[in-house]
Amino acid sequence: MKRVFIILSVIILLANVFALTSCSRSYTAEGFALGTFYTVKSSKRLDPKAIQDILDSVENKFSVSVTTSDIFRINNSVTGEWIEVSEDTGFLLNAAFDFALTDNAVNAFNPAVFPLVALWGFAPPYLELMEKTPPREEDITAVLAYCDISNFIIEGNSVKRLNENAALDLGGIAKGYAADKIADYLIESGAKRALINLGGTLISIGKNSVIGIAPPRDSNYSYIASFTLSEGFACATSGDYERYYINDGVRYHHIIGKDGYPADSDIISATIICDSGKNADAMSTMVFVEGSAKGIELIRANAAKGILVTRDNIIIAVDIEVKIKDSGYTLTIAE
Amino acid sequence: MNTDNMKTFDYYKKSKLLERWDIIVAVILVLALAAVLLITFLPAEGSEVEIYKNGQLIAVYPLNENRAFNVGAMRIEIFDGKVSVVESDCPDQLCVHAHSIFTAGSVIICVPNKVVVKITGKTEVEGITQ
Repeated sequence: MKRVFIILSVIILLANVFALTSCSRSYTAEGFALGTFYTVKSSKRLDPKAIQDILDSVENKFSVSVTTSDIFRINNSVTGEWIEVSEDTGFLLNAAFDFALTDNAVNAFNPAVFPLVALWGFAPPYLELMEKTPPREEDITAVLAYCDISNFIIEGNSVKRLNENAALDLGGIAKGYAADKIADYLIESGAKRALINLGGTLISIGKNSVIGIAPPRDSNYSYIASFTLSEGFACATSGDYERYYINDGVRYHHIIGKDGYPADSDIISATIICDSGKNADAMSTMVFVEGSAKGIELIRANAAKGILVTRDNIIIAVDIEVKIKDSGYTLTIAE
Repeated sequence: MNTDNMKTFDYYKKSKLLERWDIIVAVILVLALAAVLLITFLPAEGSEVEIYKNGQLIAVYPLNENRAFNVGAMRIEIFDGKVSVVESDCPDQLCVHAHSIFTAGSVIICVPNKVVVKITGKTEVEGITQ
């Protein structure tokens, strides 16, 4: 009996120590940046100002509306004139253009789609989004003609615009890139365990994190399924359920597909899990645009993992274990 | 009766008593352990709604009382244990589009108004990808 007593005491002591360490040793920094809300949790004390500064600096380089940003300067440049941009912008433009040229999925991720995004009414300042009507077909065809990266030439950190109507937008990749920058900063400053959540793009550092997938349609749960984001990995989701308007019962969302219309694949939400926020962000858009069949191929060709939600409430797990929360969805495993 | 027998009897009595207390203590310890584990691992039902404006906590309301209130030009409603933004002057209307929230850790965010609506409590997941 004495032995039992001692063993129990030890167990309880350990449980208490565990409970205390797992709850209290966490520092949080929150705020607004890049048009979204972020939360950074870390095992090490955080410098909230340093994090805000990193995100603001990314926004000030890539924003389509900040008049001093590299992207704004390119989009308002005289055609044929070289524009010097920051190293960050040069790097990210090259990465974005590479994604646009992906084999079998050319322009599924299109950094030159901005004129169409604006035509559809999804560019800042998003005036009266609720009462929007879709643009006319002939306008879509006309604008689509110059939504191509071939209207830009990049050499190192210099960019030249060839068509005065063409415009760039790194919105589909900038959030992931900014999350990568925060991850680099946290690791450099000695954080052992951290979780970065930049408007739904997450990076887990030094630990595995359980992550939920936002409901693409009304649900009785705050997430429809969950998975484990392994240490050192990033995830990002693209869906039709945040930026959209409904006109005559039709949903028009902000991810414009290759034909100039809101992407209309069999997928309503695409989550990509891979080694960087930048790649997860861009790939989630690509897979959302391409649909499940080609999406699964793209995920595997890039050594990523994915969780796709289809229009008929099927969750397709691509090389990752998924736990269903909302029983309105059925899980299938990609072959 | 010899003394040896008496000793055996005493010892027997004593040890029985000890055993009973052992059991009581053990039961208490097990309950304490269970309580600690429950508090640590069970996701608490969200109980309060916190409203932040510009990063400052400006109001806390219980989730189980229906009410509607304004934060600037935003109208926020707590109804049947669910919180939603029913009106907002922001151009993107993302906060109005957001599903109503009711579980611990869920948030609705209005970036243009710099408002965060958050349900307190411990969560099952550490983050939501969207």
